[in-house]
Order: sequence, then structure tokens, then C-alpha cells
Amino acid sequence: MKQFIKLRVNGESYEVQVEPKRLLLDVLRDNLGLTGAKKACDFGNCGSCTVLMDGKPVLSCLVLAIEAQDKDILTVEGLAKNGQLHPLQQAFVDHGAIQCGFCTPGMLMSAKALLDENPKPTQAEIKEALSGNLCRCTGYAKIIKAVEAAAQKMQGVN
Amino acid sequence: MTTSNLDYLPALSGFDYLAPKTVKEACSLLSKYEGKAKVIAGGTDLLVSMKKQQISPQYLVNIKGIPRLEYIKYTQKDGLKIGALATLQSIASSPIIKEKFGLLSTACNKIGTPQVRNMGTIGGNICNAGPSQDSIPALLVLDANLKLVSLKAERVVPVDKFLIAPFQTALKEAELLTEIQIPTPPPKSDGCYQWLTKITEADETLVGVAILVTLDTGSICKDVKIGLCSVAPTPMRARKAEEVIRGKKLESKLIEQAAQVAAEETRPRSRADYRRQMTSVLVKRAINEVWQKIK
Amino acid sequence: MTKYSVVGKPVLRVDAKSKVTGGAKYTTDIVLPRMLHGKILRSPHPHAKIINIDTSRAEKLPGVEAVITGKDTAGIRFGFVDTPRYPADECPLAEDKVCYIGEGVAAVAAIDEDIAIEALKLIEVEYEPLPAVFDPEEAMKDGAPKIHEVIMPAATCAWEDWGVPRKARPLEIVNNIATTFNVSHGDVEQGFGESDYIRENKFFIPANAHVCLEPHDIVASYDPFYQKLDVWLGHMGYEIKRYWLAKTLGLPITKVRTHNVYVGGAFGGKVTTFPHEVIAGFLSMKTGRPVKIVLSRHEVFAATCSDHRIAMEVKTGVKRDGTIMAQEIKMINDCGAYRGSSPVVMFLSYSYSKPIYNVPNIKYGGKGVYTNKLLGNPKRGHGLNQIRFALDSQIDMIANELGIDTVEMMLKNLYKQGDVLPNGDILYTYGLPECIRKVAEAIDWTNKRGKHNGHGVGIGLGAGDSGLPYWPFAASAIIRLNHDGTATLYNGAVEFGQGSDTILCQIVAEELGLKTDDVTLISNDSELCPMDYNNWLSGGAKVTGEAVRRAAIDVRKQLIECAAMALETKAENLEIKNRHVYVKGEPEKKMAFDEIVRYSIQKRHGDCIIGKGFVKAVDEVEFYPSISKGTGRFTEAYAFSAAAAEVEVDQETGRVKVLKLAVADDCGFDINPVNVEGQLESQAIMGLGDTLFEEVLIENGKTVNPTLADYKIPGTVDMPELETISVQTVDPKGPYGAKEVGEFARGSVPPAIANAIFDAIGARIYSLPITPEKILEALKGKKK
Repeated sequence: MKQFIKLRVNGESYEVQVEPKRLLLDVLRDNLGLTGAKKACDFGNCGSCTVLMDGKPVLSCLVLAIEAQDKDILTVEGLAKNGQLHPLQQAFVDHGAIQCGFCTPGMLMSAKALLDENPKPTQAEIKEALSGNLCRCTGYAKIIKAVEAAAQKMQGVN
Repeated sequence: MTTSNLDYLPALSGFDYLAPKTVKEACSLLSKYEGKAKVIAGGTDLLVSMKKQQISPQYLVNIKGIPRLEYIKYTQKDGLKIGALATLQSIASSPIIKEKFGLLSTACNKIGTPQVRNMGTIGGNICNAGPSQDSIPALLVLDANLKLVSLKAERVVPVDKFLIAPFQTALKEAELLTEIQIPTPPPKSDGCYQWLTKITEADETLVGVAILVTLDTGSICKDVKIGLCSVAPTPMRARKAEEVIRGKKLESKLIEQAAQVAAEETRPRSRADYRRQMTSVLVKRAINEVWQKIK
Repeated sequence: MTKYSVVGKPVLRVDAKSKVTGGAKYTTDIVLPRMLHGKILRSPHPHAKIINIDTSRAEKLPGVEAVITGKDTAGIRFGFVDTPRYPADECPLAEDKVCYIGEGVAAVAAIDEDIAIEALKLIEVEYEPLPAVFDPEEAMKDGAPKIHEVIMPAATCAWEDWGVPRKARPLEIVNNIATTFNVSHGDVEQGFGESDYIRENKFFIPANAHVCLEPHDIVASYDPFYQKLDVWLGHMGYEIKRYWLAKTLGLPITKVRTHNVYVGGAFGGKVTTFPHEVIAGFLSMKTGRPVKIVLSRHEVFAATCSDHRIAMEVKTGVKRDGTIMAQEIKMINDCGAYRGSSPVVMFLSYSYSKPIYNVPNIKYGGKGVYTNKLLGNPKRGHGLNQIRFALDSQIDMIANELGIDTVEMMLKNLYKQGDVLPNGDILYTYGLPECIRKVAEAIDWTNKRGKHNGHGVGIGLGAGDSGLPYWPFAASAIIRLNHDGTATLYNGAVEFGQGSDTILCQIVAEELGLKTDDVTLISNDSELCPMDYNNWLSGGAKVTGEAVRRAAIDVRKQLIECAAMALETKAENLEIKNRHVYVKGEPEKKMAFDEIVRYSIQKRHGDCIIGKGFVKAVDEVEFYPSISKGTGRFTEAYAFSAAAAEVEVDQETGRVKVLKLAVADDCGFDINPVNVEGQLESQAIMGLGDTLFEEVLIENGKTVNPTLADYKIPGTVDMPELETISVQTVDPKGPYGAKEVGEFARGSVPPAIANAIFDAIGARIYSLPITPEKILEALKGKKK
């Protein structure tokens, strides 16, 4: 039985009609057209579907859309404001931290959650925070550098 | 005629979704739909099982909307009380748990990935009762008790009586785990949690060892508790190994002997020889680590 | 290298912004009106006759638009290899029998995925299980279950379609032997006779998986009125995909259009045509509606392809001073239920490795054997990975036993710049010695080697081609100037993360005095772009890059000629910079590009200035070398790599911690240095996974670890310290001197780690992955 649910995504309210079994990832992608979050494994093992829910990184392939009501959801599409990239996005661009790009949205969201909670992370803390996001292309090195650079930028250090 | 098995395609069967606002309401729903309902908290274990079509409940009871079930409270007298909905991340990063029950923080920080730790709850982790769940050995050596609530009654069950078989607990159908109670360890106690993973660093635990040592005067071991996961159908205490050390003076040979006995107590299924060997290695290393800390 | 303004610089990726904002579209994101979803019913048996399939209940389920079985697709054949000797052996859906667990037997197109899955449950298949065989040695014995009997060719085979005037013959399969490969030079018996020391070893490399983050997927949309098929899919080259989709679906190749999408990783695993792709096209033609098939992760692991399983016996004879006299290699490639790229992987194992050690006497024999398992296809290096582990492990063993330093022994046996290989390829540039020296230095070889205290260092080597003469043989590019003086490049390259979009824009910008932002790229669309070499033959930089460079030079020439006329001077007196043509030494005498275009159109003949460029992968070669005999020119330029590893081994637990990986690569010239670093870092980590973590585990034909929870690839917390070194030899054959980068450094990593482990603990492991149990076993064996 489909139900009407209200979702707050990237600061905007959406009303969708879904069965309780629909997952947040699929609703974001199929109902709301926000295809940034990716389905790469569907079992929560790769992190490509990571979005922020009330500021915390979650695997949207393991969150029911219906559970996500009354929560603030942030996807990669919500990072840039007024055509300006978020410092994390800019850092990824500047440091060559993207290759095929499939893991990138999930990486960015996990990195944002980290920096929001811990603005001055050590390299080990960055690696730990991204340990649930798999990348097959980059070997991670430039991703770590990009997050370090973004942290410094956001701190006002240059 | 054979209808093929579709184990290669994840799919969720339909269900009705219920979101109670109180423990009583939750128990009432679980009772009403006994046999057809499952509790969903973090969802990281449940939805995986459901996508694999291992279970297909007709009703999902989401308890995350129940207030006052997510807390971490400590007093010297009453010990640590953790609400069942406390996330694994909150336990891993709690200053009081890090300070006084460090091995529990370490163990919870090992579980899954950052995302899983933010979604997953301690209650869900315990009730899932998988053989390789890191929180359980720590709770075993800390003599944790579980508060289980139903419509009619409340009862407190020690963790080691709660685990019956892989993915099977003493939780009754219409019962809800609401609180984890951990007594303050005796003075001169310390513990640690050590593990080896299956393949990569961020991976399921292959052998997990939790140790709690209480010293008497000098290096006499007043008490020792050894908790193991992933080496038997359920997480277990290595009681025979504990007997080897209890009451004696800690020294290398004794620790090695106890480690060996612990290995012999395990009943691993896959990679059995390696698991047994590693139990011995980790028990030895973990007891040594704690011993050095308390000294 | 400051003579260039754009190439050689760390220009930001042109696709970066769309990928960080979530705007980048992959096949999984494509939605078309009235699109259906396809799902495939797969065999649970490794080997079974199909007695009957009843689809009637599935067809009646509301929302189901089409159900097909092997009866509908009977006779359709495709494969990675389709030659006169080896006709294609794969089919979209099993016909008389299934040959591996996961082979498709039926497919459904429905209005949503749930209904499609429900429909699969309603299809009833009656199987008669047949005896199955999983071990290639068992499969080759008389009396073993026959997986294929006779492979019948189609009316024409691919090579015939591509111009080789030889008809395909039916191929009778004896003892399940799918393919053979034999090459020899010199006289190995004589070489062994002259050797002071001979070593014989067996090595085993299991199947491992690509694990591209984007699963295999396709959207196929057939227009019945124009009889045209539009597809969006994850791939590495549209020509080969179009060729096979056209052939299998009975369409002219010009009526198959592949559209531009980004691809979420490929690593060789998306080159061949897959059953689900033909199925999607077939279902779309049947229903007249678009059909989308996205494979689950389990299907990707268990029903697409893996890297090749190879058992290798290596016998090497050396002189006392370490000079290699002779080498004999025997390979058994357990290729699974279908041939896949088996003959090619054995050929390439030899061909890629050939330019490393100058061995005067070589005998190399390989057999591909059918078993009831998942088939093998290329994975990044395609055969280099397996053989480097074996050869460089053995070189290290020999060096240790003779008391020679491994680095010295490697350097002693290398080819030299200018050498000519037995097949006629010339080593115009040869940066391998420098790669070896640099990684040895980076890992502190002299101080850290030989301590044997649980801490060790090791080295491994790699090499490969920069484009081989395989269909479509050549790359081409078209460039047009736009009204405002910017340029638009049309080229068929596909961007799957390797940075192709960016370097091609850099090349145009370099030649035309533009910024990369001034270059619009129309790529990866078979209708908008000319015939192209594409990106699965290791030629993205050297071949495609060169075609683009030539097209840009053609535009430049036209601009200058036109400006010369307008400015009334000679072409030699002109130079290009900042979207202007200047008279040298007289900067006020200039014309902006848009002015030149206007001049050309209005004052001359209406030519809006369009340039074209093209280049063959190997100039003098008309067709591919012999894959069964290894003869024939192979490539214009080889890239080289060396990796060094520093490890620490916990001898109680067997756990290996890789402390540092240094990878050096001679790719000729870094068109984009950040790109090159990214490729080397990527291969370092992929090689780490190959060595310590990854194996597709198949028990009785069933893939037992088809999930990312059970098949583990390296994560952030597995990272060693990484150092990447680019050695630039400026090859005369590549654009700006560029050769391949991105594929062949991977193979240098496993031997580096394996040799480091030996250095640390004195125990040798002969199979991958090197697990803790194997280490403890080897240590126990050492004690005896």
C-alpha cells in the first residue's frame, strides 16, 4: 500500500507516494531525480549511496524512505550553493581526487560529515572516516589530500 | 520442474510499517503481530537479511521514534546504563565509556564502517546475535545485563544467557530490549579488545578477544574474564582459560598456557585451524596488553 | 619540459565539476520514456541440459511486456575472440544446455524491477543435471564431461568482416581444450645445456574481479520505424560494442548508436559483449520500448567475467653471473565455460613481458581449458599480472640462491634502447633501467634489503604496449572552429576515469594556443564522432592522442594559411597564441581566430575551418599478430614500470603490512602529470589487492563470495605510503613523446610485495593472494 511521505532534501520539501519497502536511495534517484547517490552494491558494503541524515553519514540503500521523514537529508546535489562549489568539492577538483567519479558523491558526503564534526582531522582520522567508502580508481591518495586541503581551507588556513 | 533460486537478485517483499511512540505500544504491536513482525532500529542487519530474502516479515516495527531509549548514563554506584537505541558511534566516542569501559568503546568502534556505526544501535547489534559481533565479547567480560520489557513484565538477563545460537536469542516475540546495564568494574581492573579481521582492515572480525583483568596486590590476578567472538557459534567466555590464571601471579608462561587453553575451547567452523591458532595469539597479546596497562 | 603551455601541465580534469556535483550521468542514471526493466533468470546448475522452459505464467503477469528464452535467441553468437580458427562460442541465453552457474536461460522485460523479478519466479525450468568438471587438469582427461563439442561458426567471423579473407571453420573441441598458444625463439635445450643453474617452479594465480563501482548496465532503445537501436552502456569502446550488437541483432552497424555517458570504471571488464547487452537489445526490438538492465553486484561477480585463472610452470636457466640463458613456460589457463579472452591472455602474457628480459632461448606453451565456471576476460594488464608474479618471483629466488643482488640481476638481463624484438618491434625508448633504479632508491633498497627480521623489501617489473593493430586499427578526430574562436573536438574516446576527456582537450588547446576550457569535447557518441580506435587497446594516449594532435595541427595549418593571406605575409612568419595568430616580432599585426574564420568564410570560399587527423596504431601493419604463434609486429612503443615494496610480516599471525609502495613508470611523456600520478597510485593499490586480498572463490561451480562484504578490495585504512615516479623518455612515436600509462604498472606490484615478503621471512609463497595462512604454512615449512 503506497503512502504519502514528506521528505526534506537539500533544504527543500518533497511529497512522494511510496510503498513502505522503498529505500531512500531509490526514492532520491527515481522519484526526486537526484541521481548523485549511486547504487553500486545495494547491501551497504561500498558507501556509494552515502547521504547525510541530520548531519550523520548513512547508507541510503539501507534506509527506508519512510524512516527518513522529518529528517534533514543532504545529498551531493546540496553541497554547492548558488553555483559555487563547496570547499570539499573544489578540493577534489583541484587535487585530482576524481577519476571515474562513481564513488565521488558518497566520498564527499562522508568527508563533509567528518569535517562538520572534526574540523582539524589527522590523516588517520580522515582515512577512518572514509573507511566505509570504496574507490577502485584513485588508490585514495588524492582523496585524502583533498580532504586535508579542504579542512585547511575551511579553517581559514592557507 | 524446478523454479530457480534468485539469490543473485536483492529484493524486498512488501510489509506494513508501524512506528510506535512508546515501549508499551511497541510491545503491544509485537504481541498483536506475533510471528509476523520484526523490530527495525538501525536497519543495517535487518534490511540486508530482508534483501537476501532470508526473512520476510509482514510488519516492520520502527522503534527509533520511541523517546528516551537513546542514552549513556554513568554513576559509580549504579554503573553504566546504555539505552538500547544508543548508536554504536555514540558508544565508541562517549568520553565516559572511553575512560571507564574502554574496551567497549574499542569494540564498538571496530564494528562495520562509520556509516554503519552511525545507523546501527547497540540494541540491534545484541539482538542480531551474529557469531562475529564485536560488542558481545566486551559485554560478556563486563558482566553486562540486558533489560527486556514486555507488556506484562520486565526482566533482566545476563548477556551470556541471552545468546542461544547464531542469530538466535532469548528475546521473546513480544519483548523489547530497552537497556544494557554494566556494573562498574572492581578497582585495579582494566581491559582491552583486540581482533584480527577476515581479509582487509575494515572488515568482519575473524577472531575477537575481549579481556578484563582485576589485580589483587602485586601481580596476583584476582579475576580475569576472556570473551571471544567469531570462533564459535555464539560469542563465548573462555572459562577454562580463565581458571588457569585466576588467583595466580601473572607471568608469561602462565599467560601462554591460558591462551592455549582458550584456543582449545573454541569451536570455529571455517578457517578453523587458523582461528584456533589466532585465538591463542590474541588472548596472549591481549592479557599482556592489559597487564602492562595496570602495572 | 617548459616548451609546452598546456600539455605536460597538471590541468584540472574537464569532467571534474560534473562528477563532484552529482550531475555526471552514467548508464544507471539514464531514464527514457516508457522504459522497461529487464531481469535475467540464471542457471543454478554448473552443467545441465535444458529439458523444458515454461514461461506461460510469467507472460500472463500484469506488467510483463516480454519473456524470452534461448529458443528466441537461438543461433546468435558472440565472443571476445571470433576468428577463423576460434569461432565465437557465447550466446545471449543458453540453448540446449547451461555450462556454468549463473548462465542466463530466460529474460523478462517488465514495467518495473519488482514485477520483472516476480515474473522470473514464475518461469519454470526443467533441467537434467550433467556431470560437471571444475579442475582444468581433470577436464583435459579422457572421459571428462565435455563442455563443448563442436563450435560452429556463423556465416562470417569477425576477422572476415574486418577484412581477413579466411573463412571460419567448425572447431572440434578435444579434451575440453579451448585454445593453444606456442611461441619459441632460439633453442631452449641448448640454452639449458649452457646454464650453470636451473630453477623450476610452479605458480598459481586465481581469478580475481574487476569491481568497477558502476555495475554492468545498458539501456537499449529500438525504434521500429527507423529500425535503429540507441544504446547507453558501460564500455571501453563503441566500435566493438556496435559491431557485436549489430551482428547479434541483425542490424547494420550504422543503425546502432552508442550515446555518450560516463562510465563508472572499466579496467578491461567492460570490453567484450555481454549476454545482458544482447538481451536488452533483443527485448527492446521485441517490445518496441526502451529496456534497461542493470546487473546486481552478485551478477557482476558471478555472471559477467573475471580476470584469468592461470597455473604456470616456469623453468629458467642462468649462468653463474645471473645471465638468463633459457626459459621455458607452460601455462594452463582455466578459462571457464566459454573461451572469453583466453587465447589473447596467453599471447599477451608473452608479448607484454617480452621487452623486459632479453632471453635468447624461449619456449612458451599454453592451453586454455574449458571448465564449468565463470569465464575470463581482460583485466588491466591482461595477462601481465599473472606472469610477472611468476617470473619476477623466480628471478628473485635465483638471485638469492646465487648470492646476487636481485636489482643487479634484473638490470643485467634487460634489453637496451634501440634493440629490436624477435617480432620486429623496435624499442625506441626504454626507461626500464631508470624505473628500477628509482624505485630501488625510493624503497632504500641497499639499506633495507637482506635483513630477514620480519622486515623486507622487494622489486617487480612490468611492461606493455601503447596500442596494437586490432580492429578498428586506427583513431581519427575532427576539429571545428566555432564562431568565437573556440574549438570543438569530435573523437570517439570513452571516459571511464582514466582522464581521456582531459588530455584530448589539452592536446587541442596546446596546438591551437587555447586553454582547455576553450575546447568543447564531443566524445563517445558513435553517430557524432568518426570511426575510432577507442580505449581498450592501450592506445588512448599514444594512438587517439596522436590522431587528435594531427587534427589540431590541420586546423592550425589552415588558420595560419588563411591569416597569412589576410595579413599579407608568409606562413613561416606567423605564430599562434591566445586564440590569435600573430606576426612574429610584430605583436600588433594579429588576427583573432574568429576574425580568421570570418575572413575564410566571407572573403575566401566559405570554409568555416574544419580539421581532421588520423593515425594507425601500428603504421606498417595491416592486421593483428598471430595470437596462437606470437609472430608479427605488435606495437610502436612499449611502456615500462617497476614497483618496489617494503613490508613487515607479523610472524605469529601471518599478517602482512605493506609499509610503502613505490611505483615508477616510463610512459614517455606526462600529458597530464596529475593524471599519471593518479594512474600509478591506482595501480599500486589495485596491485596490493591482487597480492594480499583478492580471489574469486568458486566451490563446485558456485561463486561463494559474490558480494563486496566477502570479496574485499583495499580501502583507505589499507593504504601503505605511496610514492609514484614518472620516468619520461619522450618516445618518437607518441604525441609529445607519450606512451601508455594506466595498465601495466599493476603487474609489477605483486612480485614486488611477494619478493619483499621473502626478504622479510625467508619463506616463498607460490600462489596469490598471499594470505596469512599461506605465510604461516610457509614458515612452518621453512622450519622443517
